[in-house]
Amino acid sequence: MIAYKFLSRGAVAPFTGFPWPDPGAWVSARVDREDAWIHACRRGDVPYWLDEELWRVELAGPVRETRYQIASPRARLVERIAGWDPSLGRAYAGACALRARDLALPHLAPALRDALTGVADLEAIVAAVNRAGPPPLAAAYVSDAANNALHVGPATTSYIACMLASRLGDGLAAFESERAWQSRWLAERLGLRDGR
Amino acid sequence: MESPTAPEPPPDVAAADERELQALRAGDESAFLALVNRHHRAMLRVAALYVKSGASAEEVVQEAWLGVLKGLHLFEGRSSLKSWIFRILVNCAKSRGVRDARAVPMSALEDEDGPSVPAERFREGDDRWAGHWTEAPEPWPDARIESGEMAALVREALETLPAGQRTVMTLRDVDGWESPEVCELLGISEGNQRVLLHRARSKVRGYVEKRLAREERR
Amino acid sequence: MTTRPVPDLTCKELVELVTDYLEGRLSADDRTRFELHLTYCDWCRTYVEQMRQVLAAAGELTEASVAPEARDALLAAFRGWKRGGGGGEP
Repeated sequence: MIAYKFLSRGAVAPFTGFPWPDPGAWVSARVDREDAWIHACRRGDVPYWLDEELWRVELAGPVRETRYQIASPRARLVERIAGWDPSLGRAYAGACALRARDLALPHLAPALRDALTGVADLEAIVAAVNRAGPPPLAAAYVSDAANNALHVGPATTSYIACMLASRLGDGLAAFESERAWQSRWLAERLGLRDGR
Repeated sequence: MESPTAPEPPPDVAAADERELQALRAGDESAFLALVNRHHRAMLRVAALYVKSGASAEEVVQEAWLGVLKGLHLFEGRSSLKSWIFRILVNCAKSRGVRDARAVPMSALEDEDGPSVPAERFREGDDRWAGHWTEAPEPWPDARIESGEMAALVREALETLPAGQRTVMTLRDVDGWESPEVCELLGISEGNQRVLLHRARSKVRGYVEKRLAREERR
Repeated sequence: MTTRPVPDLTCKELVELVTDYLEGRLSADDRTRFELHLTYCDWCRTYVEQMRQVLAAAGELTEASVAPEARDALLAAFRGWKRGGGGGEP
């Protein structure tokens, strides 16, 4: 089964620190130790697990599917997805921040709504939100998202957009819907598929 | 009180124990001193949990070693040598503890409650980011980590901990004891042990953080 | 039972679970929550890394050696025990 996996710089697993061997080389975990199985992402899981390097991976053996990831006792790297780079990361973060703005608009007072509608510039969004003193909740998240897109990165920005969706909507379901939007945005640009 | 049955030692431990026993039974003084060196400080720390004064703890440990020698010809290897030695120690400590009017169970030594990182480090209540850091941890400079200074700070930090926490963290993280060994020795559950370990490690990290921050400011 | 509004947990909750995480004692769900959070929260990643650094430093500590008087007393006991035949009475 083909799936996706994020690794830290140098193809190192982000939580275990495990240094992955070159593409093609199989890595195995004990079948009876499910907690040690190798994790990977379906297309829809990708937005939850951002890190520096995105890889296409192949899973062999049984695949255990859970809500936000899949796991298998045997996997190998297939190829680095070069399209996921800092430049796309910035574009993605910007897109998430603008989405946050869009999600918030219907919930804002008319003046603020007008000030934010159609604004594509993140600095301008931050300025508009904070112009007249402490902003209401939804607008504050919009400002957070824009600031994070400008200065921090896609992982925090995308999370903030989902958090806003959750607050405005019905909690976890809304969070996950926003992740689904993010997944489609990334899948289109990176050629990600759900594959068997 | 009967301690829970000690687990059978794994083959490599059993083999090492056998070699050590043979050396001791042959009267090898350096083998005996090596054994003492390996365990003496930990035995003092454990004894101190049960008795009133430092002097009493020293006496308890001496008594325990005499007990070890007396019982050496009876030791059958059903548990590890370490496990057996420390069981003798705890028995001595508990008898002495009773005489010293300090038969306090381990759990009573631990009266702490509340979060292991001060609440003010996190946003509260209505904040839209409630539960997230206010004052986030700053990465420690590589130079300070690599200098070997961390070990000295950890040693200092351990001394500031309450006895139960210090004992568990020292046994686990300094002496390398496994979790079941610590639980068996102290007669506490896995859950108790983890709570003590967690509080200890959290405090030690906090101490190191404070010290490094203070020195960076100079 | 209400579900959480987010799939991960807060930083404040995470720091209370660090020991269980490093011991491999979290349930699969809690471990996922923990790692979902670390994915975007650099501050908590730093915290966990610092915990690992503390443990590494602790592992470097060696026990101070036994005080000379204590050691001498034990050596004397050992010699006494040997003389007694190495049996039940030193």
